[in-house]
Amino acid sequence: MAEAGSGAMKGRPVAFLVTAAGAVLALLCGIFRKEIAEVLINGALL
Amino acid sequence: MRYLKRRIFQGLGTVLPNAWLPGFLSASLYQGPMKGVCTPLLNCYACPSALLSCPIGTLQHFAAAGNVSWYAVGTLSVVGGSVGRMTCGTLCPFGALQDLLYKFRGWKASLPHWTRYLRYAVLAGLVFIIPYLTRESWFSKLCPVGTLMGGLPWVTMNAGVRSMVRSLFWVKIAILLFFVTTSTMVKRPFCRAACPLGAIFSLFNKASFLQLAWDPDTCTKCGKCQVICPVDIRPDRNPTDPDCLRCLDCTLCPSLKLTTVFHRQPFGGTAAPATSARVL
Repeated sequence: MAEAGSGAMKGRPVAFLVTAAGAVLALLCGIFRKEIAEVLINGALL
Repeated sequence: MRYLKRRIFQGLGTVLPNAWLPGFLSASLYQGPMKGVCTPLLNCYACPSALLSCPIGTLQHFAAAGNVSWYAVGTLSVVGGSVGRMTCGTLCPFGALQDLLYKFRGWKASLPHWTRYLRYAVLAGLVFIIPYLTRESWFSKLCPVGTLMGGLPWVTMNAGVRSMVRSLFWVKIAILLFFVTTSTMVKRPFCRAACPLGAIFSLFNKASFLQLAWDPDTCTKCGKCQVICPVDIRPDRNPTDPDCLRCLDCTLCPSLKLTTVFHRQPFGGTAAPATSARVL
């Protein structure tokens, strides 16, 4: 457990920002690789 | 009704991703552009009324082809990074079914703690490693949600599909019946022990934007939060427990509330009261 204001708590917003940046990068990477078309085809032609 | 708002969201999470009703009338799959969107729910895209794609099915499809679906990974990371496992608790149709099944009166049991690690094994084994090695989507072949929402409707509606039923279908039925039966005795057994999507989202509980905060000054350790929790955890011991579905049922207690990762003092208080609130 980490109390508010402790070192662990201070690191949590940073962890969130790193996670958010990684998530957006992964999503953009998938979109630029045109994966949506393959997802659509896979989902529509099961 | 105490949990009316969550039940309404669970109803919407069941109906909206499966709103293509002509699929049932014409016994055909929706093939429009929305099938290119991964839903953040375990919702079978082989269901005749499914509008959106299953993220686990998508991950497996790419793994079977020797690739990684960055689109599915990104979609799940954006959702998980925003709300943690909240979609499991508030929107998932199979989670809603398990919640309802647990309301049956009868013998109740608790799930051993170690079973929570099985979902990570299911994620690694059935979603990534085995599909990569065999070029087959093995989780989809065994998924109880797929059996309920895809397999059973197709076998019922289509004689051609019915003629293709083999022993694997009965294995799928047995898996579905196992989870339906155990759901009447144990709180959400599939979500806690077997769901690969829950395994992915649970990785984000500690670093998501939305957080559950606990106030040790007002908490009496009565344990009622565990009684009402749909996955049988104590949020006062660890509000960022990977099992926590962020359903917010426990926030009926004033010692627990929803906050954000940037909110240092969710329960108010004076300047720099490092001991007044814990956000874990």
